[in-house]
Formats: sequence, C-alpha cells, structure tokens
Amino acid sequence: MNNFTLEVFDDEGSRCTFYTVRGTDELQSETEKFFARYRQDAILKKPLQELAKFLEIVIGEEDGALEHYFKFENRAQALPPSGNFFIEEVMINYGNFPLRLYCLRISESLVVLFNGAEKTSRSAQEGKTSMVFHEANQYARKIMDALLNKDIRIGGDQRTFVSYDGSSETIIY
Amino acid sequence: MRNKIFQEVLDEAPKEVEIFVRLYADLVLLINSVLKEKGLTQKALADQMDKRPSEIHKWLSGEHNFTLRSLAKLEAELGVKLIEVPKPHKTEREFAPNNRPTLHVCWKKEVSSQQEDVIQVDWVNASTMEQTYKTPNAG
Repeated sequence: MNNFTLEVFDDEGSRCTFYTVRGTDELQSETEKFFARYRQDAILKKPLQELAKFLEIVIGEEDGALEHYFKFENRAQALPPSGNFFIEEVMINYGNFPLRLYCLRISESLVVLFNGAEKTSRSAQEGKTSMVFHEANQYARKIMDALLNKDIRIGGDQRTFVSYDGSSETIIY
Repeated sequence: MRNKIFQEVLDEAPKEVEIFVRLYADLVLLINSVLKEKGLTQKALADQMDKRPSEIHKWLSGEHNFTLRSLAKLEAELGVKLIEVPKPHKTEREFAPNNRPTLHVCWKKEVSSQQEDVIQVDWVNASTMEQTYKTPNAG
C-alpha cells in the first residue's frame, strides 16, 4: 500500500467529523470513489442517498457516531503495545440494506470513512466487498499504528487529526 | 468543508430520504434503549415472544423489514410505544359540543306583501343546529 493522506470529508456537522483517506498519487479519496461509483446506479442510487443523509444528519449533525449505528465487521485486532481497533460498517440496519461503507470509528465525534461496495454475500470478505474490506483493514491498521507511534494525534477538539509537527497535513507512510 | 461529490448526492436526495433515516435511527435507538433498560437480551426477548432467536435477530439486525404487525408485536412485548401517529388536525376534542362554534348567518327574507326586504340574522349553534332568530323588525 502506498502512502496516503488523511483528509476531511465532511466537518460541517455539529456532532461528528468524517475523514477519508486518499493515496498520495490518487485524484480521488476512497470515499469519493464509493459515492461516485453508485450515484448514477439506477438501483443503488436511492440507498446511496439514504446512506449520505444518514451520515450528514443522524451521525454528523444530531447524534454522533453512536455504536448502534455501526456493525462490527471483524474481530478486534491487537496492536502492540496496546490498543484494539474494529473495522466497522456504517450501515442502515434496515431491510437488507444493499450497500456497505467501511470505516474506522475513532470516537463518537471522529470517524474515518474508507471505500465500500454492494453487499453480495453474507461475509465482507467475500463477494464485491472483499477487496475494499481488505483495503479498509490495511488503512485502519496504518492509521492506528501512526496514532500509537505519535506520528499523528487527535486534536484538542477531539474532531481533527494533527500531524506530529502540529500541521493539519497528515501523510501516513 | 464538505466533499463536493458528497454534497451533490445530498442535494439530489428527496425529502422522504431525510425523513426515513431519522425514523430509522430513532427506532434503532429506542429499541436498543428499552432492551438495555429491561436487561433483555435478544434471546430472552425471543423466549418471551415465543419466537426463534434467529427471527428476533433478523428483526434487530436489519435482515427483515419491520411491518406494522411486527412493530405491534414488539411494542406489546416491550411495553413501550414505538411508533406514534398523530391525530388529524381537527380532533374530536375540537368538535366537542362546548367547543363548537356558533355560526352567524345572514340572509334576505320576504316579510310583507310589498316585497319589503329586511335583514334577518340567524344564530345557529353548530352543535345542536338550533336556530335563534333575531329579526330587526321583530317586537
């Protein structure tokens, strides 16, 4: 996996800021790829809008990233010397929602969104989600490593990532 | 700052989408809160409802659409109102006899052989439809 930056995806809500990741040699962030892929899809356009509104209103503006809104998709993975992380799905847990968007929930006020895909199998490791789920795990592990190594830290407002030198540009190697 | 594509998707979403996600989220929070408050696990709830745990899991994990019937069953079992539908604007209370308005009706009435027109004011109680006539020439 190449170097990537953590960049703000949406910080306009009063309860939660969403970050995303973008490869340093890529034009689009991972979450942009997800939204761009499905916004013109005749069947998945509506669920995509529901997911977008869910992020904007429920999590971003009104409730924050409450646990009930996420589904744990993998087992806790221990990171030395301490710390566990879960890759979680932001999902509308209603009526076989067809899309999966993966994320790393740092807290109720800070979430990193990755890529996602259409759910075509019971397991995230299979079907159309397998590749993006695998990548989400890699991104999440690198972010957690960077936090543990203090290459990046969470800002005083609990809603931003800050580089070791205090700048807001957070490149992860 | 908000991502441009994300903003465009949001702008394209109809109003119903916004209503749906808020309803959904409120329902998720309420059901989970009641389960926690009552110390109920999904298995215990299944036992109480005489259903298989897998069925309850489907209800609460999104693999099954809630129907009005399933919500009613859940509401009965949890003892908490899950969905409340507001009454229509003109409620029964507003039309209770004591609150019914009095209508003032005016019309012309022929009162003499000379076809003289006078104004008669007719007071109608809308609850009883009883009429009280006040005719200017009366008395």
